[in-house]
Amino acid sequence: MALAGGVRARRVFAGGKSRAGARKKVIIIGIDGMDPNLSEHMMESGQLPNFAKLRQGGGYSRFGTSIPPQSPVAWANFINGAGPGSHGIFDFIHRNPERQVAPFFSAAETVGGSGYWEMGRHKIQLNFRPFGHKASATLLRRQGVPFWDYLDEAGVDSTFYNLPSNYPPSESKYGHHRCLSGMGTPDMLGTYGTYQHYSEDGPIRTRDEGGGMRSMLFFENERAEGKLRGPVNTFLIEPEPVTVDFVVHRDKGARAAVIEIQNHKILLKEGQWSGWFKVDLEFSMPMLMRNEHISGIVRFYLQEVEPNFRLYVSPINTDPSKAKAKITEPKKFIGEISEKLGLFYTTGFQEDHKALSNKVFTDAEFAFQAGMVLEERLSLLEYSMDNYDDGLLFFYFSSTDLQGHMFWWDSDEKHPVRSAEDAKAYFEHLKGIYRKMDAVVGDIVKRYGADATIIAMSDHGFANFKRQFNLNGWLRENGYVQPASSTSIMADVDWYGTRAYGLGINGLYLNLMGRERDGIVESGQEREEILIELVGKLEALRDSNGRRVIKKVHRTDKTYVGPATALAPDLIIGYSRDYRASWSTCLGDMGEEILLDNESAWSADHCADVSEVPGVVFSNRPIAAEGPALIDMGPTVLEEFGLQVPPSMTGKNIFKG
Amino acid sequence: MAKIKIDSNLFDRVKAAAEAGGYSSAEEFVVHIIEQELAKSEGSDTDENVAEKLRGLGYIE
Repeated sequence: MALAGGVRARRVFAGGKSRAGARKKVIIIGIDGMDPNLSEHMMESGQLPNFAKLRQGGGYSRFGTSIPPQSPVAWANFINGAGPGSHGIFDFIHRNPERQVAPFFSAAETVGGSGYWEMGRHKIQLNFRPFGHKASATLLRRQGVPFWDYLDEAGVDSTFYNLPSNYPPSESKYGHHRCLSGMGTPDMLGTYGTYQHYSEDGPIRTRDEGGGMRSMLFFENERAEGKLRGPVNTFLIEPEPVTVDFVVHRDKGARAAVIEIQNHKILLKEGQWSGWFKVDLEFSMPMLMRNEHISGIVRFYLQEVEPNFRLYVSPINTDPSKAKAKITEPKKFIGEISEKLGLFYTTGFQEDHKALSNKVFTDAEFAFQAGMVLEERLSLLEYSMDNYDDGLLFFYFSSTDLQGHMFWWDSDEKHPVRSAEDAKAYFEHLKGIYRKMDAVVGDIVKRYGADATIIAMSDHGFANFKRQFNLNGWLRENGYVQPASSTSIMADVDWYGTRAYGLGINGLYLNLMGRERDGIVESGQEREEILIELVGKLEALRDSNGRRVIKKVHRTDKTYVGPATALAPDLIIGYSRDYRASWSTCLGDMGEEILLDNESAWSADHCADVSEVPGVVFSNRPIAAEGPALIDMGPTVLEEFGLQVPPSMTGKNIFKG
Repeated sequence: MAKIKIDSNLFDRVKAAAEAGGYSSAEEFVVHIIEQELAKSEGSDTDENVAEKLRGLGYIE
């Protein structure tokens, strides 16, 4: 992909009033999950020449991550210039205490509408008087003020591409801020990406498996019919999903197939991916009203023609050329991008790691699909630079994180699902991504280094995920959860005998009276005693090999500062490297054993203690601060543009000692 | 407070279900069921739907 400098289209400013910092340029490249141990090793062996050069100039440091080191928390720290006490995001998963452990996605919550007018099978919401119905809405749950608001107010342009933790994107009050939202942006089913898989040996009744659906295709005379499942039509009183029919014609001789869907005829050879195709999703509306049409996009991958026909369909992404959902600020921004770049992934999680975890993809197929995502990102990067004059430009890469989760394996021990040879090969593949990032940053330094402050940073590092800890199982075994026969905090726990529960990847909550609907632990002495007891016991826990499972347990009442702590867990569990919360415990299941091996293709993670998985920060300017961290990025940018850092930001300028 | 009439056989079934489910009263059970149904049609997610969606995150299974 050629990124050499050339003729770039320039935006023309009408009425060039002089604005504070108008000529200043700051470019931030966010490389999710870029790890310092691996980066340092690769710099030392000459594999990352551009990063090494920045380091030589004093522009490198390990970068403090968030407590806990999960992307929604970390990027919110970056956005607010302050920690979770300011933005209110503590994990991927939060709960409603007044509904006792009812879970929701921390960064964006869909709240129900109220009221409707019934018309036959349908209900419609009329938001004008005298009806005053409210449509259901998805609200951004991140609190506090994002640092770009101050840039906006000062007339400094800022554009963010694929920014995590900002869906729906917050509004620009003064019109100088633009954002394409990233992690957290749902697909058209309202999920984080649900593939649909069709095969001859698939289940007769469509089966949901976290992140995807499997169905059967039955061929008669080399022809089969299938249904693509779309979003639920909530205009119906008994909501049903919208479906799109398709027909597959198989040609065993040619090892190919034709897929007919709406007005498309798609010819694919075995092993071939299609481009993006639009699908029209039609929502039936009550009589007298025209049916609602929403456009989505999908791509097809013909995995096998015979002996077992297998067809993969990507999650249905919002069509960027006709987006109904607000995935950019301003709303029209996505259409402008699409005019130049056509159709592309618009969901927050684009690499289909679920397909790999669920064994729909092989390692190689996942690497290929992830490679296509990276190609699209590189085209978007080119677009971003073509449309950049001055102010702040932020651009995000997911590859090092999502490919990291599947391919990082920094050990000679047995990999959960791969042979030693393959584990090594795919870790090499990940290193190839690091080398690619080095080339990208090198190119940006070449193009803008003389005129701009350039920063490349990550939100956390990485570690093998070898052993998993059933926190809820441990709590039950130690009498904090009752009864002894319970299996899940979502189902069969006796709240009147339960003093603590685990939810999310790092959170532990007390069943506190007055806060939790069925709380029994009293504030004051009882709460204090249980917290001290839990911290002590958890930090003392050892695995059968003598290793400490948990490096540190953080009390949030002593860690988080700020007004947004109402939903915070009481304790954040900081696991040692190689350890993480178990798959089952995150949504409340007890599991059978307390400590066991991780057996998933998702074999590396970063939800360990904050001290175990710091990120990296590079710059073309020397980094003078000791121990820089994510919360420092916002204040640094503001001072770069000559603005004052507000007292609500607890971070400091990384360029000042 | 609105009142609703239901068949006494149905009410007996409601009482049995409420007791088996550990609810403090038949009323509490009925209110909970209605709230769940309404939540579905009001377009927000039931807890099961939300949990299912969260399982789609790579970090969760």
